[in-house]
Amino acid sequence: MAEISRELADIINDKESLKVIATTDAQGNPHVVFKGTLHTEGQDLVFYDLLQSSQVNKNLVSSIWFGRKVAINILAKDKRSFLITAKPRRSVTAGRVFEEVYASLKDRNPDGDLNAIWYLEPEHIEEKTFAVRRAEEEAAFPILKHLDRLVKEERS
Amino acid sequence: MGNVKISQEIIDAINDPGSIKVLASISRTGELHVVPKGTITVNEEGNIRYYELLEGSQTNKNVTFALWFGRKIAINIITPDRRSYQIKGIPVKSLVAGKEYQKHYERAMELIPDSDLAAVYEIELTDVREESYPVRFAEEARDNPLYIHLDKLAGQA
Amino acid sequence: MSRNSENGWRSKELPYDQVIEKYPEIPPIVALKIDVSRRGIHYTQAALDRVDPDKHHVEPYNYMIGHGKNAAPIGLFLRDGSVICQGDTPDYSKAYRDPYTLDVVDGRLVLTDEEIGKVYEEVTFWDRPDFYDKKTSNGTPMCLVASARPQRITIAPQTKCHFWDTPGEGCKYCALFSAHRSKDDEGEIRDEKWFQDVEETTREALKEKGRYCSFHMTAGSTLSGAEIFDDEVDLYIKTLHAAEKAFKTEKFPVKLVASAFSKKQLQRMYDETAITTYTTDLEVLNPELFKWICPGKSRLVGYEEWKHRLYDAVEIFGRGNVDCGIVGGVETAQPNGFADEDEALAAVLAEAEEMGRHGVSFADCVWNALPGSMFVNQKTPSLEYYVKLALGLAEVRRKNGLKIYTDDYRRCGNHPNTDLARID
Repeated sequence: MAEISRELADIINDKESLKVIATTDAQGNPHVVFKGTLHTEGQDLVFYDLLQSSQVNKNLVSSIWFGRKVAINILAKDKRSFLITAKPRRSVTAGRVFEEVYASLKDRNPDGDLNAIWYLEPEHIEEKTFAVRRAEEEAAFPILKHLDRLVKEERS
Repeated sequence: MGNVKISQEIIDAINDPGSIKVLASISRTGELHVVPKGTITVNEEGNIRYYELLEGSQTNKNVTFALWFGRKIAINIITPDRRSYQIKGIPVKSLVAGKEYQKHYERAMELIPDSDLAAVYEIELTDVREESYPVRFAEEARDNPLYIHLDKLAGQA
Repeated sequence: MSRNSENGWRSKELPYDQVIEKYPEIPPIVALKIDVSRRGIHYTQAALDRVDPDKHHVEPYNYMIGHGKNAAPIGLFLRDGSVICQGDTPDYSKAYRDPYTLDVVDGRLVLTDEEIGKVYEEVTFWDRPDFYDKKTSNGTPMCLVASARPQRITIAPQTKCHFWDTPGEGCKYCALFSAHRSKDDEGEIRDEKWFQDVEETTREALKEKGRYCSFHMTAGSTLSGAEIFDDEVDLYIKTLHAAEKAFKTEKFPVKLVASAFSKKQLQRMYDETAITTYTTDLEVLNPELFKWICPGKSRLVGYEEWKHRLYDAVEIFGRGNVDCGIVGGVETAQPNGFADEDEALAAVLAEAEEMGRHGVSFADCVWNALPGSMFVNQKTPSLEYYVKLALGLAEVRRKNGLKIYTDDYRRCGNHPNTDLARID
């Protein structure tokens, strides 16, 4: 299990961050949607799945059944990006906790519903910010680039 | 391969500089990967084109894998006003050299200075769907009216 | 007249469609590239009519082989960005197998198998290098100084391999530099003007933005010097120093495919030039077959010493930065090679695994019995063999944690096993 740092938790819980979850169906096809309700609770990632017929719900069910992982990306407002690989750990579809969340969501959207609360256990976290990745690639392979970028200017 | 075309509304969403676009792909060993890809656009044929800027990126490896084995990748676009569209497709072409590539190489450098374009991918579309919550909620209400908690149907005492 | 109707070769091996079904881990497009490399391509007139010498990369003669032949494209792009390094085979009457056909179907340039009647993949021609129309200040056409693939520029400092000086000692599969095999032929002249031409041609080539990722050098072996290959080392260093004048960095991606240099020679190359990687070809991973197939290399260096020099190179350049080229499949050449493909594969992969543990990567060329080679009448292995070899070598690379940049799909493009590294 990977630990979510305080800094990353703040980014995840920031309402201005964008959060996506990618899952696969039983045939291995990817599916990716934004999930504004994604947040941290302790060391779990938690989100509220609002629609029972959603593909993400079906994919998470088959993932928890068959031990498949999901991928989450967090894009902070400063454009830093983090990839978290996680395992669906639990799905809560009824009970006190469910009802509390249901009630809080109803305040925001009276017509809306709640299908499930999904708890995801992070397994691997890495930063995917483009500038960071580019610097990593540059450091690892400083000369592996198109040769025209290495040209010495001719003296006129 | 795909034969789905996207609407002007979605093309506008993709081209909106305020939109955020993410690309989800799967590795050779079955691992999911999802990252923002600001370089996703639409080409003249109405297919998705994207510039891969990092040769060593996991996305680059995964999209090559998808191209080789006819597998799907998934893209989602969220607009500044929070409309969301998911597009799925199969990468059909990777341009890494040649005159056509070189034009994109120079264009990529204009967009992101000092970038070294690894590849230009073309993706034929197989599925397009709006994922904006109000739209999906309306679909659910229409298609699955019984997917509802009963307290919403309770009458006044 | 189809070769199949004469020798029934199609009934003796699994066809492409069955191979990709049997080996789902091989990308179909990579398997096709292997099969095309193995069988060759014959252009229809419709395909030839599509060639525009002002736009497409055609060679007035084959830069590396030197035979005069009609201008024709020397390679094709597949839609995954990889390349097939094959030109037209106008006459295949002496080949064992029918080639693939390059044709125009529904307005598209495609690879087909005429006898089966199937269209496989759409392809495009390579673009003509911009520098091909230019001349150096010495009046030398730059296309005679350097050649190119879509992403690499190639300079051959020497166009003669001196292993051929002793009759019968050249490598039997090889058709490179076959125009300069006569004992009295010293190959092209390399004087000070030539090195100046190299600098100017390199500088001109690099003006084509986004094209080149690798500076490739290879030449026939030069045996002379205080120590064997010393003069070859001198020539490479001098050529690199000429090219280096065009670059602002001390090191840049060079793909050097050279003889088996000693540790001292390797250290000199590393210290005095831009190179960060090194390739030397052991060609066939079997000491007995090496003696038969590469008699000159065997007599003057020897299989074990050649291998040892690869390990020395790893100490200088690092794991994964040393590559060994092999002529994949030549281990089945008859009468001395393996008659059983499974035995051949097991032997080759066992040897590759040992070398991989020492940090050596592999670049597998698909053996094609070429005109100009002593093995022109040999029968090459089945597609199934080549697919298993590519997959096996890819697994050796993965198991040993080796990357392969110098001979990958960009910097070379002629090796199916390194193509597979794209998804690792």
